[in-house]
Amino acid sequence: MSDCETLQDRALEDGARGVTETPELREHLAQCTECQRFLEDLETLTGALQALPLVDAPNDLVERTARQLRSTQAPPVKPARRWGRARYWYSAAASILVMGFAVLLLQQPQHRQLSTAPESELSRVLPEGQSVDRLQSPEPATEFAAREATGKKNAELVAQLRESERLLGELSELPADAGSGTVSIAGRLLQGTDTFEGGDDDGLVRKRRANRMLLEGNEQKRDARTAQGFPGARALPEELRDYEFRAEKERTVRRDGDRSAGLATLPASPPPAVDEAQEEYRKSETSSFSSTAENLAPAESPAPSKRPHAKDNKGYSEADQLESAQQAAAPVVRDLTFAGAAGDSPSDGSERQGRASARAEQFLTDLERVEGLRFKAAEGYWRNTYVPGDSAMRLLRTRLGLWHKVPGIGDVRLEQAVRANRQPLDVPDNAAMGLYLQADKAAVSGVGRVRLQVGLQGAVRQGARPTMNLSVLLDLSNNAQQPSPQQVRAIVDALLGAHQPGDRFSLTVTGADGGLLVDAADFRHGPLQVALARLFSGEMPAGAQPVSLIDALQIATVAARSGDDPSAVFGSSLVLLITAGIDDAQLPTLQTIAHRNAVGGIALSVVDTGAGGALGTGSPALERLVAAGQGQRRAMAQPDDAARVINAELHAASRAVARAARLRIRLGPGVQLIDVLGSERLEEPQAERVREAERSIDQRLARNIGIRADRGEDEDGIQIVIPNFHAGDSHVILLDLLVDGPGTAADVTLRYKDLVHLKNGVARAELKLPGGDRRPGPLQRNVLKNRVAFELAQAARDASRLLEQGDAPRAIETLRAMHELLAGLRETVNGWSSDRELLADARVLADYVAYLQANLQTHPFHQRYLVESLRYMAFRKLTAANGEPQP
Amino acid sequence: MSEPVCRTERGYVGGTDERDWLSRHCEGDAEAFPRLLRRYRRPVYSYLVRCGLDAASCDDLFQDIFLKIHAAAGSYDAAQPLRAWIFTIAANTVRNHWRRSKAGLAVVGNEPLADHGDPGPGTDGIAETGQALAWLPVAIAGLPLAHREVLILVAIEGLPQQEVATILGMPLNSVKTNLRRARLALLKEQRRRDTPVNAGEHS
Repeated sequence: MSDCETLQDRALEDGARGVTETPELREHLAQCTECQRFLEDLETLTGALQALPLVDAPNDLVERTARQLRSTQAPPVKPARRWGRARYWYSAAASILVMGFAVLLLQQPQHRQLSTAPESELSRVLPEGQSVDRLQSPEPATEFAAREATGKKNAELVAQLRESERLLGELSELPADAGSGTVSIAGRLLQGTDTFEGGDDDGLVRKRRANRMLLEGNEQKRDARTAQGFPGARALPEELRDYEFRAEKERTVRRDGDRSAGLATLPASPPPAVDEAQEEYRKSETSSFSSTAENLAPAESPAPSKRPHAKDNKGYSEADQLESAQQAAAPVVRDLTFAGAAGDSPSDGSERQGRASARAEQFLTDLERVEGLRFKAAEGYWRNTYVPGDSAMRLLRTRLGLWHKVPGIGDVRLEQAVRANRQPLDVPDNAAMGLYLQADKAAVSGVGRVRLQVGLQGAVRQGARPTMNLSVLLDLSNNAQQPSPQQVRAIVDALLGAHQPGDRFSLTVTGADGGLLVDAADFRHGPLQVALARLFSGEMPAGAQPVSLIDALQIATVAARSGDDPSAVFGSSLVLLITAGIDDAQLPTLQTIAHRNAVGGIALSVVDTGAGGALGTGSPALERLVAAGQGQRRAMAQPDDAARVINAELHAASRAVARAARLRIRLGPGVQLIDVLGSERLEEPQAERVREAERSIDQRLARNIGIRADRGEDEDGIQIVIPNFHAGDSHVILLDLLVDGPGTAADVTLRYKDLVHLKNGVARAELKLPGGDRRPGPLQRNVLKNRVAFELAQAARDASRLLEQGDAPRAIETLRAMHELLAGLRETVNGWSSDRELLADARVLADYVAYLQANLQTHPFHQRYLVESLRYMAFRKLTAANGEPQP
Repeated sequence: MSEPVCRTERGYVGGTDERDWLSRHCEGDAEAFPRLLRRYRRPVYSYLVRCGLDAASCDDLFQDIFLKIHAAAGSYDAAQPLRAWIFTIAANTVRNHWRRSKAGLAVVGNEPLADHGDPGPGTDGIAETGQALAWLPVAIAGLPLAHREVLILVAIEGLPQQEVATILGMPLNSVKTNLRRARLALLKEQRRRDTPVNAGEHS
């Protein structure tokens, strides 16, 4: 396709902006008169289309329509329990089907070759003559055991077992005597043995998946019957059936897409100390999981415990493996009804339903409690709860990706099933951000509790990445840990591949013969290869003084400043530090430099190539450094990750549609603040840093793109500053309030730098609550649902902590209680009985409980996985779909 | 009965009050549906006209669409934008109409506007648009249905492409493809009209 065709196609699809925001197309346009004329004609047409006036319906037609509506039956009133008795029949049918399916899965003896592993992989390890067959051809256990007992070797099985043991060892989560147990577990899992009573973990996991598939199929059938007018169900007009199915399909596609997230393999390196990183997770972890500098306390982590590497084990014999494959797992009590029916079972329903209803009533009652409340001052700077691409979340995700390579865990991916609630926030048409206020009450009478929701919605922006001024800093100063030559070459190749016209990349290195290795003018294949060859030759020029990381950072900063284009998009000048870890002693100075640079408009991001990066645990020092530099931290486990990491970093600048978004929330007269959920008021030093960062963005944008600087003094009320808001993202902030009666609950102002329309954006909204006892509508219930989401995230975090402390029973109970709460709320709150998001949440909780019950007693590494999985699940529940952290 | 008032400054984005209308309609609020009718009478009727339907069909389908909105009010999920939900009904209603009637297109644009009954205030704008754009509604109505739908919703109504993909039940790439083809067809027509007749003849 020629350049002209490419440009014209892009223009026809995305309009003129689609062309002008792409550097290579912009460059072609500047030189091609034909394309210029094409674009002019297209803009004429676009203007003409937009100028077409609306055609109004004739007044008499509208009047006739209104009359007809008035004369038809009363509008359909939504019942509190839409399904009524029919729902229980569906639930009963589903349960019976599930039970039946479970019976089918049960074969005494078992040893059905069920697996969710990829077919090609599994077929390599199956005994000869045994095919991968997901639900058929049971092989009696006796025959299987007999065949193995004859000593028939399976070299691939052994290789798989060794590989899995190495993976487990690398994760360094195993106790000292885990070797044989690990092999036995891996062996059983790979061989696909499963039981039900006294069952094996892998089989139960597969059954759970099968149950879920069955229930989903039942739900689809139910919807189909609904559309056909099945009695007791809602009737959808034909025109809407497709809409609902498509929307659900869209959600399914997104979910499945996430499930195919890439996995990193482990380098053959000694296991890192994980306790320190986990300690930092705990300290940095807040309700909204932000990992800004304000939240990272100085580390006082315990000395890292030494975990035996798998290689320290004395090994195992094949006979051990095969014998252990025959071992029965610890008896597992599995509540099929609980897990399979996802709270919908009527079989032991009355007692469970009673508990669920009681929990829901208690929860709702607590939300209305007005006695014994403690209030907070509704003023000052509060911590921003919108942190797209949170580093801690990314690291967790990378780590979970490694867990997923372990047989038996691989296909579970419990945390991937969780989704944040979709918010009813319209995408703004003429601004980069939209502001919406809602409450969970439609009216108040007298003193009462209200949840106020401040909703933010980013515009959808279609644009290519801006021209980047990237100063790459390669840290080779630490002989003990530094990026490998393969990693460095992969990064350089990725940069070369991503280089676009107008980009300025340079390369600075530390260590011997350090300094500016390749400047922007020479950043191409030839000079880079020569430079890298010299770098890794080990030859040190005579008299060469090693360049420290601190000095190299100064040099890299100078290189970035020299290429800084005042007209470029803010965030397009960057120092990218490639390192496997830094010395803590240097951190304070590095932080100071990084912060100063960031205030001056040059951010600092880090690509962690160390073992910590590989495993996603990372160094707290690097975490603090990127926080000071207002950059991103990315994990690069292996050379193959280089392209992904580099592209993510280069595109980060183009994702923001607004910067320096300042929310000011003033409560109405007589309204008191109980809490801002997930946030807390910042101490003055933290607040000062927030102000400083805000001013730097304000002034920089005034210089660069002419958006007038408009940030001045602090304002009254609650102030929250959001440095960046990304395209398409939505975010809600919940305030728990006590009002003394009808009136203004709050007025909110949002100021931001609009990068879409290149102006100062302002939005204001005020929420007044009338008197009366009007029932909450769907928007009010949406606020309540978001409140429930916070509750669920908290339950997940609590369960994670309990599990980490070794208290599995209480962790299970925490999740079960949350599951019951959801079940009770779905029965109690109008319109929630068929809410798909709540149903999905209930399923996820049921899956976690089932998994915990099945795997916890005998498999410590499953516990480690679940601790992190639950933590990540809590992140995910409160993170906007589009705000999913990038790798 | 009053409702929570969320006021936003004119000219700024804000307010999702319309998502509550159907719920209130279901609860018996007599003002809710008329409010919805007032808000959407022009967008819906414009859509019907630009789809190339004759006057009688426009009127019939207009009533049909709002009756369906009324009937399905209880199934509307406030998590979804109301506009997309309404246009889904409208788009499918038009498609069903074409399928049932196999009617030919009525050429709209040069017809006397009186054929549509009492013209509302918006229809005057078509007369004021002038000859320069008079060909445009005709050309739009002449596009294949798939191209026309996308063009109307994206380029005229200004809906985001992803939202249009959901409304019309097609992948985003198909929306882009149909939009590209629609715009290209109109561009060619525009250029043809801009090119002087007999430009290549010699005197």
